[in-house]
Amino acid sequence: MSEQEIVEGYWLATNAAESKRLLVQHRYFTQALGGLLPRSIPVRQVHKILDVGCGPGGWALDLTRKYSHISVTGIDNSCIAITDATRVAQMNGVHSVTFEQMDATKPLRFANGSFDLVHMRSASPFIQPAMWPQVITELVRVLRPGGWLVLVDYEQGPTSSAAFNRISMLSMQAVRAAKLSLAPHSLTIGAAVRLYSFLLNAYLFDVSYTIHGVDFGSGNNVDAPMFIDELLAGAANIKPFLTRLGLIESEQDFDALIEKVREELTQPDACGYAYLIAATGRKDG
Amino acid sequence: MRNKYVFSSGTVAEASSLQYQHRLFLREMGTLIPERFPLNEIETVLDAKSGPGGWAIDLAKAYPAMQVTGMDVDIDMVRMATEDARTAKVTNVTFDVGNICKALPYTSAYFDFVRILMGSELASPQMWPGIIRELLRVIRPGGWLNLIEYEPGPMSSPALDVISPLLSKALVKVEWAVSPDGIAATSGVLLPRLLTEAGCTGVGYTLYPVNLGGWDNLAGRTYVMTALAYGNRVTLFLLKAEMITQPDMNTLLQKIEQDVEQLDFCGVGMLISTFARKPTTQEAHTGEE
Repeated sequence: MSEQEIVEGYWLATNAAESKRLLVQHRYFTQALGGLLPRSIPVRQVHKILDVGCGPGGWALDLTRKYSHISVTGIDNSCIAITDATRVAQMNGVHSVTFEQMDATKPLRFANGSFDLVHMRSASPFIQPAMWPQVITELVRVLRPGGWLVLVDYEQGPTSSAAFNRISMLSMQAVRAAKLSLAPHSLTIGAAVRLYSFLLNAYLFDVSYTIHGVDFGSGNNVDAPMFIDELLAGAANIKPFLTRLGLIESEQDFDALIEKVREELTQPDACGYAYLIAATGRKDG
Repeated sequence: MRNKYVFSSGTVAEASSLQYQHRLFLREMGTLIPERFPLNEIETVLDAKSGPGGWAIDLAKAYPAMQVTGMDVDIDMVRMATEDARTAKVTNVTFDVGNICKALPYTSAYFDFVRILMGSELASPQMWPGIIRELLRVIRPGGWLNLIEYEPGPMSSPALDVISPLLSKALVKVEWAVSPDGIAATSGVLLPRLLTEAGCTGVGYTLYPVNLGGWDNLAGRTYVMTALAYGNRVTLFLLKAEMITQPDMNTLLQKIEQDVEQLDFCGVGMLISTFARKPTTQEAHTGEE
């Protein structure tokens, strides 16, 4: 099985349910991050934004709704995501946002210095570890001098549900098998804690990062059960891959695990979290 | 039962590491006692695992009307804390030897507020229900409990990443593990449930991410180096559990030191601060009916 096949066929199935999943995730992450953009960004100086890996366009649409002076171009490798995003934008009569199918691991079809800000969230499942530096170099190329690069990525933490922790473990083993982990020795994706390093090594200035807890406790966030539901739907996408790797006996076993998580993590005293790390830097000049 | 931390050394270096830890965690949590607790109803306070006493002394200094007690299993820590309080001329704090895993040397219903930071270093998951019961005994009806655990998160250092899986295996070996897969390193995520099961009211938790990296974060890096690399706790525990040989550990520590000194080092952890209230006499009575 090729890496491409894993990414396209198994790792994330792109369909309508996937669009819904990504929109729920976008809202929950934005809440955890405390806003659409890091507070350090002077939004008034930002007019043109590129959103890389825009999915069904949740972030781009919310941003243009909030700031009328900003126009956003969203790109994603998935045609279905782009079709969905375009449809939602038209439905809502939003004209300051456009969506285009484009692979961010290849040269981008934009001129140098086209954007004031480039945003890329949750890209780690799609970028081979060795490709990160060249992807970032390309993002910096399309940024104007003095423009901002904002990278956000996710890392799962523990929860009070043993079944959820088991699913995390299986997902991490799948990530490792797909050669998508940046941490050679631990069961983490390892991208979130390396964003800072990527930005420094791309010779950006004013590089900094912030850490945010994504809370799984329904006592702390009423939206937690919905977010966890969609997270589990995402995990279910990798069932065939897990079976093929021999990590689970059958897909039914995995479904049973998911049922168990639903039971355990909806308890009022359930506890769990993930990390989001948001790293920012500015292009020199 | 042991009278030492699961990761133990009992040295001055250990105390110094715990002082760095106190400064770092205070920075991330913002306050000594979380704002949700009503300070005007808190006079008697117990830090039931006070280490070298940093938190207890700071609290006593900040609130002269409070009577603060620090307790620790390690007599050397208690001596150092007592000495520090005397040097700082703080008179409303005292330190005792005591173990959270045993009967506490205090009368029932004495304290308004009890906190423990990183109790999982002393308590295996199986021990927590008994510990919570004993803590509730010394808290007055309507008093508060604040249990805080620290979970290490991902790090950008490959050498540091070697430590976590080793630690998980070692904890399984000594039957101290929360989850066999090592996903949870402490009982932190289980504490809200355990407190509810113990009959507490108002159970909840707050998350505080801990930043260990960044070029301008000396506190974070120093904590990593003192707690992990110079290994007065973790590394000695790994050696004792025969997870790694001394020469391999030395090589690993050198690599960790190099990684953590890099300008682009990034690492995170999470503080899970769980809070609960002992039912008032009235509430307890209603609950029995």
